[in-house]
Amino acid sequence: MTKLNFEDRELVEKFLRSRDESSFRQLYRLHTPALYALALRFMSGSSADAEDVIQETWIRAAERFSGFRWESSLRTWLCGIVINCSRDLQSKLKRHEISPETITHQNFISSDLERLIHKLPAGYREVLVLHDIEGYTHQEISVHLGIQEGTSKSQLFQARKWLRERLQGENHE
Amino acid sequence: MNDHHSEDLTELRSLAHEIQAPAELEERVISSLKKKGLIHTPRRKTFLKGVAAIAACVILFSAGLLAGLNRSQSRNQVTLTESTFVLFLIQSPSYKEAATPELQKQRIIEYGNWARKLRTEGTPINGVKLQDQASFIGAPPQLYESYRIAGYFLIEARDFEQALAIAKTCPHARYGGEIEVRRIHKV
Repeated sequence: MTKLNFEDRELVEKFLRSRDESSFRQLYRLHTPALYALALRFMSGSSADAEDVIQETWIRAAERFSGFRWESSLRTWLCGIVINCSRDLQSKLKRHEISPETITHQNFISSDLERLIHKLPAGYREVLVLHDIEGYTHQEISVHLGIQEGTSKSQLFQARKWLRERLQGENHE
Repeated sequence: MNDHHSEDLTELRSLAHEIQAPAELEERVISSLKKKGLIHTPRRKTFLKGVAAIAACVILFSAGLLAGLNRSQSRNQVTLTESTFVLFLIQSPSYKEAATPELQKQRIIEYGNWARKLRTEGTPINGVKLQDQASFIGAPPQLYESYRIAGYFLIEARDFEQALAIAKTCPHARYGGEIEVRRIHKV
C-alpha cells in the first residue's frame, strides 16, 4: 500500500503551484472510484453519506496537500482522510449499524458476505475492511484509526470470528 | 493471526473493487473547493481589468491583423478549400498571460506581426481574437474554465505537416498556449 506514484506527485505539485482546476480534476478522477468504494463500506452502503464523505475528503486533502510528506502513497493518505471523514459523519449521524433504508447503493451489497460485513460492529468492520479487503498492514491501520497495532490484530481476529460464525450459521439454515 | 485467512473468508480480498461515483459529485466537489478558495478559477487578469481594456485589446488585435492581412488581400485572401486549416488558440493553465495591460497590447501586436510576416511570405491567413464572455446552449464543457479558445487563425497549407509547422511558429505556442490544428471540412 506504500507504492509511490510519480504521476500523483507531479499532479499534486502542479496543483499546489497554481491551484488549477485541471490538475485537481485529474487527481479526483484517478482516486475517487477507490475512495468512493471505501466510503460506501464505511457508510453502510448509503450513497448520500458516501458522497458527503468524498466531498469532505477532497476539501481536507486540498487544504493539506502542502503538508503531505510523501512517506506513503497518495492513495493511502487519501484513504486515511476517508476513514476520518467517515468516522466524523458517523458520529454526527449516530448511525453505526446497517439498516435497510440506508442502503441506497444496492448493487454494492451484492453478496451475503458483503451484507454481513455491513452488519459488523463499526470497529470490527473498519479493521476488517482495511486489512482483509484493502490490504493495509496493521501498522498502517494503527496510524489511520489511532489505535495500537495489537488492538488492530485483536479486532481483526474478532471480526473474522464474528463473520465465520454467521456464515456457518447461515449455511446450517 | 495477522495474515492467515481461513477458507471461508478468502472471498474477502475479491471484494476490493472501485466504484464510479455519480458524475454530479465531481462538479459538487469542484464547486465547494472554489467557494473555499482552494481552487483558483482561471482569470484573464489583464483582460478583466475592465471593459475598456478588453475593447482596446480586441480593437488592437483586429487592427494589427487587418493591417497585416488586408494589405495584400487580393493576393493572399483565405478561401475555404480543403487546404484551409484552422488554428484554434487555446488558453489553458499553462498559458503565461501578459503581466500588464501594456504587455498584453504588445503581445497582440506580436500576434499580428506574425500573421503579417506569414502573409508577406505567401501564406494566406486570417485571424480572429475572441472576447472572454461566453454563453452556452446546454451546460458548459467540463473543462471550460481551464481550456478556452481565445481566438483562431485560418491558414492555407498544402497538408497537415505544413499547417503544424506554421502553428509551431505562432507566438501563442511560445507563451505556453496550446494550438489545435484542424482541417476544415469542405462539403
